[in-house]
Amino acid sequence: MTPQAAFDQYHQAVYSFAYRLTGRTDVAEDLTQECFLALLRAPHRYDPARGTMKVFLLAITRNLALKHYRDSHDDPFTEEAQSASDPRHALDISSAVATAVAALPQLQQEALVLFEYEGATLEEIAQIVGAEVGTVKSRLHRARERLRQTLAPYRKVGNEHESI
Amino acid sequence: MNPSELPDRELDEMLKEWRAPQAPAHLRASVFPQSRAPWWRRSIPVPLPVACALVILMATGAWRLLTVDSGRSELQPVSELRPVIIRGQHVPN
Repeated sequence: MTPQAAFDQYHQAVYSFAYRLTGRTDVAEDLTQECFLALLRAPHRYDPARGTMKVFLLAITRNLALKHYRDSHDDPFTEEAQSASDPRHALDISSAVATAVAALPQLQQEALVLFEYEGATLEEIAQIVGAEVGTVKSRLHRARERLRQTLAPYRKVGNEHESI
Repeated sequence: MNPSELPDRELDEMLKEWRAPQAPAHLRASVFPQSRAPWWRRSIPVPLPVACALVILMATGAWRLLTVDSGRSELQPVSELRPVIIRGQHVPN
């Protein structure tokens, strides 16, 4: 697969993943660009025997996101998480979910985003984050437990969500 | 499960509400800048002093070409040919 073909097929997945990790469109754009430039510079680093191109690209994006926060001396992962970790401050369900996910511990957050939004399997997540499948499963379970509690005030009543 | 917690199905529904924005269209051009335009529309960066020197050279060349052309245009074709034969001293009469 050429870098151009990989871009056409996966740039939205990479961008979405970066956005959900960082909560910022400008950073997501930078990370997506850097991810594909890394592929352009060293396409031989991708080994199809070790996983799919999507997994390879998401792993690069994750490392770039971590590097970004190390360089900017910022706490992973979002500004929203720091300023409004309480989802009850959010105005709608989408913002409440974004805030609640951002407030998760980093390792739980990335596992949840990869599983729920990128459709990655447990094995793929384990490969991306460099952990055991059992560990990923546990992080995912804890992330969902936490979200169940924090998002409970937004439970649907009939067709409408409860307002705070 | 605690009654103040969401059941799985409801949690899944709520998670779906959070949508990521579309990737900007200009992203491709910033990753593959060479592929954004055909070769005859591409540009190369040239330092300003070099560009100025090139412009001066071209202007000088054009001016010289014009002055040479105008010098030539002053020459007129001969209307009447009057050949003069000059004999040397050693030629017998």
